[in-house]
Amino acid sequence: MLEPYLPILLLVGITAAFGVVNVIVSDLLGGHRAVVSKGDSYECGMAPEGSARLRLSIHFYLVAVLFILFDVESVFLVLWAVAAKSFTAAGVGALVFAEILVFVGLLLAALVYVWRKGGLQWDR
Amino acid sequence: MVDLLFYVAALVAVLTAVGVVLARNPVVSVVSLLSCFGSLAVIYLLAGFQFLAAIQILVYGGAIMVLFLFVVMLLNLGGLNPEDEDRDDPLFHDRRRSAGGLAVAVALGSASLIGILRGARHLAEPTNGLVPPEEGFDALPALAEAMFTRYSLPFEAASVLLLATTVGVMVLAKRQRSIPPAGEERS
Amino acid sequence: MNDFLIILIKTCVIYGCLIGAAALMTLAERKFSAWMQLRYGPNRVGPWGLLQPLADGVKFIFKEELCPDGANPWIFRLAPILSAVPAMLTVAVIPFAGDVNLFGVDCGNLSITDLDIGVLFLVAIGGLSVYGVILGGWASNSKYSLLGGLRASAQMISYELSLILIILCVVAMTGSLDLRAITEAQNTGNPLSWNVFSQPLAFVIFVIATFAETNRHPFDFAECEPELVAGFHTEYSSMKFALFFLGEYCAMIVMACLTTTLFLGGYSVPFWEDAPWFVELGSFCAKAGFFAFLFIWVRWTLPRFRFDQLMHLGWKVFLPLALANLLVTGAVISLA
Repeated sequence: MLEPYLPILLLVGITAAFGVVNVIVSDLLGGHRAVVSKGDSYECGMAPEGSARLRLSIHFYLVAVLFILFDVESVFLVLWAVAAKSFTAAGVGALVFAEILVFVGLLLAALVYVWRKGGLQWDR
Repeated sequence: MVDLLFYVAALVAVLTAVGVVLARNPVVSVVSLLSCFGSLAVIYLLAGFQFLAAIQILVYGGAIMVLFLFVVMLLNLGGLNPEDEDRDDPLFHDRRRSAGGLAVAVALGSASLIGILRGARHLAEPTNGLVPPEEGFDALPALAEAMFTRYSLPFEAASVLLLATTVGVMVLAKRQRSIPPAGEERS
Repeated sequence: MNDFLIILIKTCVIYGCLIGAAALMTLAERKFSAWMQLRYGPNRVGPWGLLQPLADGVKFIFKEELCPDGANPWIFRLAPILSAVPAMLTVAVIPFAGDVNLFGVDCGNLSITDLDIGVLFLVAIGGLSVYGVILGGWASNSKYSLLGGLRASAQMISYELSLILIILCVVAMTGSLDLRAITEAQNTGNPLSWNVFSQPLAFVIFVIATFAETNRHPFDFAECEPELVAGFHTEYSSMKFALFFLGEYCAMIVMACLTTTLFLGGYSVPFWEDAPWFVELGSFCAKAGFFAFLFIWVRWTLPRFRFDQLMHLGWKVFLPLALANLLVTGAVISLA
């Protein structure tokens, strides 16, 4: 069962080596000449102003949570999508589809709720 | 080969888990936790559960850790420089809180240790061992059948749970926003 | 041992081709943009500037590497790797052609591997490249980088949902997560059995969502030059910048391959059901090449959206449409 994963192990090794070696090589070969202002963050020529660690908008948190919810939903749907044909063949297609309708319906209700409450409103 | 990979993955999982606790910088903790989840996925895979491994990476790796990172940034916890104010925070030096945290950690740790030992004894009996699916992914239709027929009620309950979570999140986020920042009108 | 050798060679060849294709695509991007703007584009290094990517690579290696003050040096160096590696890993499950027979040696199917959970692997691993973007933006200790990284990550996760749901429509029609099985189901010799004809709406949503997922124009809010300079890689120089760049182009190529596999029959050749592998490979490359070209074409044609428009499109249009499409597909399958 694990044979198909052998090439992936190889590929992980190759790509990781590619990334790490590139970073190290350019670290070693690239010139280094310390100038005071080189370490400043780039702000179009102005001297950097204030801290760069900004507090971010609550929107990003909302998007991340909503993403988790729908991600979990899609994981459940993966199982259904793979087996949908065999359910139909076994004669329980309509029943399982009804379950899926309820499931997706509840999540759509969640989406509509967030929508109505303005959680998807980005332009204010 | 499989044994070796398992030990490597297990070692990485333990080390990164320790790293999550010990790292001073919360973002480093998140990265550690991410690698911990990755090595857990490898362990699942080695045990023969490809689907679980993929879900582990998709949901925990791809979604939940993104939320963690966002929360870390939301709370602006990423103090990096020694002169950052975080280190002077009395929270960091509060002995009573540290002792409390240690007590909770010891309690949780011993509880899970007991659980692991009991589980190990349970698994040691040959009939109770976890049997990996022989044909790999062919187990997925079986999993689907179990979920949509025998366990259809818990499955539907999961969607109710997700709905409740959404409502909770919205309430929290809305409360935050009902205090308008200075100079902005309440809308 | 012989099997292992074949696997090793296949992996290295496909990986090398991916890197080569990504390098060529950077050149193609500059060439096409030049033609569309009535310029010449790179034409000094080699014929038609063909060696330009190589020259760029050498220059990247010898560039001074900068690490801004107050940046976390480890995460700053880790981010480009985290961004490039997942994008390159996803190529593992793409089936490029059928059984390859080279000089009498049977090399098996032309793909690095065929996983039973192929699509899921691609989505799960591809989703990890979001960390390179967030961490790179955060570790740079720069406002442009942080904002660019956040925008890009919010955009990537928003559109990932629509992508997964659309993929599920195709999965439901095939009943398998294996990309080769999905290809074979469309490989009937009749182009009308390609999924693009049975799932036209899904196809359109998918193609647009891949643009957003790879942070490409018209959705490239990660960079958005006029307002965020270069977004999350503003502070990056030398090879670390090149890794971000390479990862981005690899992701685009894999997305083009995925679109081909899911909707255009993958390596199937019209009206020739069991074509030899090199014809199949040619067919695949032609289709995937078109989508890769589409990325460039659109970039130099359309203006950029606004970030709130992008989020509206993702959450209020694509997500409900993708769900509806999946439910209709499911209804047809289940109630037939």
